[in-house]
Amino acid sequence: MIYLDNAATTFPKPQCVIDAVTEFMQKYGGNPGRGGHYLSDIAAEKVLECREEFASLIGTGNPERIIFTKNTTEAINLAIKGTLKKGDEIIISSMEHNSVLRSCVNLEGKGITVKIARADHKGFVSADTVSSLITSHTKMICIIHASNVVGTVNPVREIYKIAQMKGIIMLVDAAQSGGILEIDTSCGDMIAFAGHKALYGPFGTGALYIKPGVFPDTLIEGGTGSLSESALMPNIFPDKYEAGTLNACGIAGLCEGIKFIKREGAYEKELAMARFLREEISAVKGVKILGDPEIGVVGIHTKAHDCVDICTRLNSEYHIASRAGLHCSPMAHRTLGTVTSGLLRFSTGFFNTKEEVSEAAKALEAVTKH
Amino acid sequence: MLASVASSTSANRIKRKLYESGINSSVIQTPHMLTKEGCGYCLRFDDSFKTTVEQVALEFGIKIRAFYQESYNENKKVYHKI
Repeated sequence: MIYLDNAATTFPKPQCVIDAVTEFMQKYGGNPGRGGHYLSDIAAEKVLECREEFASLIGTGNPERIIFTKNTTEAINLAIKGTLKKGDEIIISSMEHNSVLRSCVNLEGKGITVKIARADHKGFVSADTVSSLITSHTKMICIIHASNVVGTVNPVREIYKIAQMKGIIMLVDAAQSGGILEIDTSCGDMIAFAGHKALYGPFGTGALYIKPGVFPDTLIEGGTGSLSESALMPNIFPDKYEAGTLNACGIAGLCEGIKFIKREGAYEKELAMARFLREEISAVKGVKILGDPEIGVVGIHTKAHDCVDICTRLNSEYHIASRAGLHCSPMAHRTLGTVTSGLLRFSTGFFNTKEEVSEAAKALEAVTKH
Repeated sequence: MLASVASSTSANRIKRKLYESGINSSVIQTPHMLTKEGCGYCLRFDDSFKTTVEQVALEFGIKIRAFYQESYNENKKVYHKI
């Protein structure tokens, strides 16, 4: 199969990731931070190693500020629901994923005001547009770094500078950009990552970076293996935000995934493949690329054909994996004018080759001809 | 000697840093008789590295809750807070 659905999850995973998960489960699968025996010790060391790899990836010297979550959605929920109180305002872009939109809509019913910074027809939201919506009640800004629908990249650093000047907390959704674009602590106060996308970790991994000085409320409470006599969650990082047993074997795999992308120079390769994907699909007659993709995510509009039909035919006739529909981002599709039609999406990853992308472009041309 | 900290993450961070400097230590669960707020973790290390442990903890912003000297009194393990 030619796998072009890496924006959903990357496939395949590097062998070192698979080996790390297997090794964890076979050799040292104790519960990290629980008890004091050899297996839990080794597991705890491995979790710490992953925190440190993550911290170095984003240029922070505070690995304890990397909070492991089960996915980006949980990280986003923690950031948003942990920050906003009744009477607060949040500004989000019109390209946000449902993880942001639904969290915010849930809070609207609890006295939070949600303002939408409209992106342009390419899915780009400017710092000026965001700035124009700021009021004295604005508590938070949340912006998607790279669109999961059309690959447009937003100026998060520029927006963060404005947020900092106004004392507003900024959350960046880095689900699609983590592992592909340079992201560091100059991008936001909180940055939400997917472990299982371009960081090449297993399912069930994600993280939220929380800058020193930022203290959201907890999303869930439970056991932490520390200060357990207290009925309150410990007020220390990362324990405060990591109630319950971690997905430790997933984190062991994620650790190797991060090392892999650093070792293999994945950033350069991913961006080069993104450019090639865009060139090849641009040359296909009868289809149009929407947005302004800078990462390997291309949203393709086909006037004459249903996007899901194309996706189904690509799968069954050409063994090409893609994704069609609304990509859990109806607000983005409203911005792009494709909420009725949906879009077909190709998304490349580290293991795709130019030959595969060319073949996919040919198949797309063939399918859209009839 | 034991250095008591709040969490496994804190203990392991200090342990890794010491290891990079060629100092061996281990992370153990805080003996229950020493826990004031419930479960916690300790770094066990040779007495001679106490100052180094303090410095590393300070560098990382980790609070060391107490240092304890381990010994035996008639075959019973005892801990003396330093």
